[in-house]
Amino acid sequence: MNGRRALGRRRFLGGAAVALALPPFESLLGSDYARAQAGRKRVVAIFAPDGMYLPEWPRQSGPLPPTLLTQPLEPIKSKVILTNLANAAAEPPGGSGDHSCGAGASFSCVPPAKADGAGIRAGITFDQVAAARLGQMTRVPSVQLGILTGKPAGAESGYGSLYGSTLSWAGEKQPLAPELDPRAVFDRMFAGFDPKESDAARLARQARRTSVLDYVRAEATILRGRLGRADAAKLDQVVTSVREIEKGLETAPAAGQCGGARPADPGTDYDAKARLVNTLIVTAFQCDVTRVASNHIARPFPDISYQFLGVSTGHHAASHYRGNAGKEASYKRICIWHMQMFADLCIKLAAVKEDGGTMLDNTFVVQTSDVGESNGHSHFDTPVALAGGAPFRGGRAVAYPRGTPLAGLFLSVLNAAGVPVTKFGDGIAPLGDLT
Amino acid sequence: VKYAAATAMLLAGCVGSISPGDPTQSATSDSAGSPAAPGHPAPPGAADPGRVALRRLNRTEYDNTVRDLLGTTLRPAQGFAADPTALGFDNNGDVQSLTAIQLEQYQNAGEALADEALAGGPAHVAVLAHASACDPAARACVQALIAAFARRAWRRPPAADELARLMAVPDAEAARGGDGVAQLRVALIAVLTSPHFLFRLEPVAQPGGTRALDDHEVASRLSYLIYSSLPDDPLFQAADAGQLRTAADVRAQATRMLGDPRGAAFVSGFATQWLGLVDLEQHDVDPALFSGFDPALAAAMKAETQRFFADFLAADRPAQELLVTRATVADPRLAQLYGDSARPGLLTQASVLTATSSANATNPVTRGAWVVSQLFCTPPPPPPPKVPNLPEASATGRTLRARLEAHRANPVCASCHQLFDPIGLGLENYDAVGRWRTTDAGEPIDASGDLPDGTHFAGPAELIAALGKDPRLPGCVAQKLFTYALGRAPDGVPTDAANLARLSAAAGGARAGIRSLVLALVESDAFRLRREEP
Repeated sequence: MNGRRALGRRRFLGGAAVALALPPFESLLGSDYARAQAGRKRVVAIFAPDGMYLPEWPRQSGPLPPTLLTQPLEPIKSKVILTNLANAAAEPPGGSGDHSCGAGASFSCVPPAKADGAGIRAGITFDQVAAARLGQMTRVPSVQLGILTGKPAGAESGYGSLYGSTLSWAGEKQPLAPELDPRAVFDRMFAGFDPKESDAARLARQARRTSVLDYVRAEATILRGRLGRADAAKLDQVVTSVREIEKGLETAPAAGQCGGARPADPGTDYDAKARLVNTLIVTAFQCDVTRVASNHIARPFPDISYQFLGVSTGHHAASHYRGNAGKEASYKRICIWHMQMFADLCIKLAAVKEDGGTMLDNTFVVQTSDVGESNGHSHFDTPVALAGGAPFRGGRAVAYPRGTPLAGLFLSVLNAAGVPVTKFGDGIAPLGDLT
Repeated sequence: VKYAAATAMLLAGCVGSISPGDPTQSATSDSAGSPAAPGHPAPPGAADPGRVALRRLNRTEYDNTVRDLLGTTLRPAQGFAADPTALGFDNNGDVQSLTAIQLEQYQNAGEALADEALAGGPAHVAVLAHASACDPAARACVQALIAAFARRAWRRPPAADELARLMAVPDAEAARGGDGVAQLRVALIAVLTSPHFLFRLEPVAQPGGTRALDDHEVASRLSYLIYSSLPDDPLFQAADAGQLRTAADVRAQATRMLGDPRGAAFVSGFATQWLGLVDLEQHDVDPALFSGFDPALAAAMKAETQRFFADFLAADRPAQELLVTRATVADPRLAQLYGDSARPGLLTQASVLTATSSANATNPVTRGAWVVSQLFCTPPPPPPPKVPNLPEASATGRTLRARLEAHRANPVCASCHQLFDPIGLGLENYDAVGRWRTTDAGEPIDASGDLPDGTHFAGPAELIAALGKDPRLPGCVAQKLFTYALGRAPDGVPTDAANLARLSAAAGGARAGIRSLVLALVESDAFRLRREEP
């Protein structure tokens, strides 16, 4: 099924200098590109912290109404479903630590352990369930990105700060830190390819890399036997990682041939950075470097500043806006920006033609949060935005009975992406009324 | 890459020192089948040292290590994924994990470093120092060079079987027709991508038991604590000579290292994270409040506090004086920001005052909670479920103090907030970037209050004097040090309370100097022994 090979290496090389602007390859590839992408499904998970401004969020089933929060979606509205769902695992058993517990459960629907350091433990997130399958087909199984940084934070009511600053977990002890430097993400996905290199030189380079990796795997395998169980698990990760990299070297000799020019550092222009990260995700999908991405916009607590939007009140403080018009305006502004960035990704995906439609038709984007209604930290009405193609019917808001689990939506998305799981978190069935 | 130049230098011979001893003589340990011969047994009656998780080099440690190993100016780890933080520090093995992408980055970094070394870059001399008498076309020459390099990179003599497996990499290159330099290159990359390099391994000798760390393991613990890097030559020599087995040996090395310029890594690694100043340069300040805040000023604020801590360390002054000792302000912009207001100690430094504020306002609750959490190690208990928010100013027209007082009128809230609100309110004369002020939004500031023990203070000076006498401070510094050094909180084993008490006593009790605390820590069983988890 390897469409990349069918396209021919030399044609890619002719366009290797293409800059990181969309759509980079259609002009070169025309209908070949669309055919090559046939059947590829992708998944994007986005964490937008501190809930959503629910007065402007549709709560009734029906066509998406025009509101401040749906307005940015206009160009791709027909592909978007907005809803609210329950995430029971996000509710901290002791009654406090809503943000960190909520963040730790946001994409796994499994309660994170109330601990810092050694006791930290969380569920595998849905993007990583997707990566376990879709990642087998690409050089990089999944990428984790992030936008806003914040001062390192202490624990929240006993929940380690790691929960708030990590979206993706590959296993209960395997947090995958988001990469906050888009240039590093670019390097990770696209570097290492020299268009002037001959095939023979490339094969020799791969042979050298493989021999180093073989050594690393052998050494890790021996060493694991000399360590206690918990420490040995870290060397198991080395062995697994070697396997992943070697598979990438074997199966995708052409990967890394696209990506264009290395982007400039957007610095603290977080709007530009978020848009750049969206472009990187789309480019990675086009090049089939990966099919799974997660984007951690910011941690929910303690405060992160959105000064670049002209908002001085910290995001968390603003999210508790009840009775304060200034905070309410600040919170609304931040929530609109979260939806603008969600829309920006979807619009970029929709601009890439493939497979009789667009890349958005073959991609499922899910954005959710640590809490629902932000003043009271509820978890039964967690806001969810889902964008993508069939089988989902977009252009709608869907109101589910109270208590309908968010995990069901993740199951629906995983199944749509060709990941045949039947149980996830506290979900045992896909959601009805999405398709 | 100019391999020709590298070959020329190899053949011409180089000078320099990579590590003590002739690599062909001392590169391998006598015992095959270790990665480290188990250290001597734990002394009878030793305290349970608790579990220390396997640690991988974090970004700072990686960059410092390759700098000291190769003399390189490359900083490859700046492109690595951010390190996870737990218990306030970024060197916690329990939350580290490794992904394929990270391993690939290590391999890429290894390639870049090897290329630089072989192209005659700064690392060249360090790597090829022992090439004078050997022809790189000969396998024995490659082996000797790599053995010497691995010894330094892995921070201990590699075992014969480990070297044999490592040599498979250059051997495969030779089989592909690679010349001596090409063989050396892949071997260097393998050393730098090896788990022996990336992890600080302390293998299990007797599952379920407790053992003393061997000399090289102790050297690594010391060097990564104080230098955030590999052992320097004197420390390596001490390890080779078996001179890190007694508390006195360890103390002597640690004392020397704290006085070394590289000991600055301890200040930036420990104090900066402890005090929450890591990302101060990225802190946002509303320009409407103060237009002069920029990364350079933030860096000056941070540098002031780091220098302040470094002076305490050097002079071995007690932790309690941190709060009442005046810093010397060197930076002109900082001096201007301070004006002529009195600045006694840490709590009046702009770094801390800014880091505990929001972009446009001070946050007395945050400041107060910061003091009790970071300085007294008594973080406020979590608020009860669904507590009401602070009543809004717009709704009540009252000052922040009045609103906080109203909040504390609820006894459920008061039980906790009385522990830290008065501290934060007592610092209200310092604004969100640490400038002195006497009014806030036109209202005069009332910075008086009462501490939970009944001590009344009229303003920040009296507050700070009272906090400086708090007996929790020295013990808290010891706890934070313990956590930073071992990657776990001192609450993992029942003997930890005794460990901490012994540590404080050994350092001189409540008036213990900060350097004495560090030295007592490295001498302790918790630092020098290892519990052998099955």
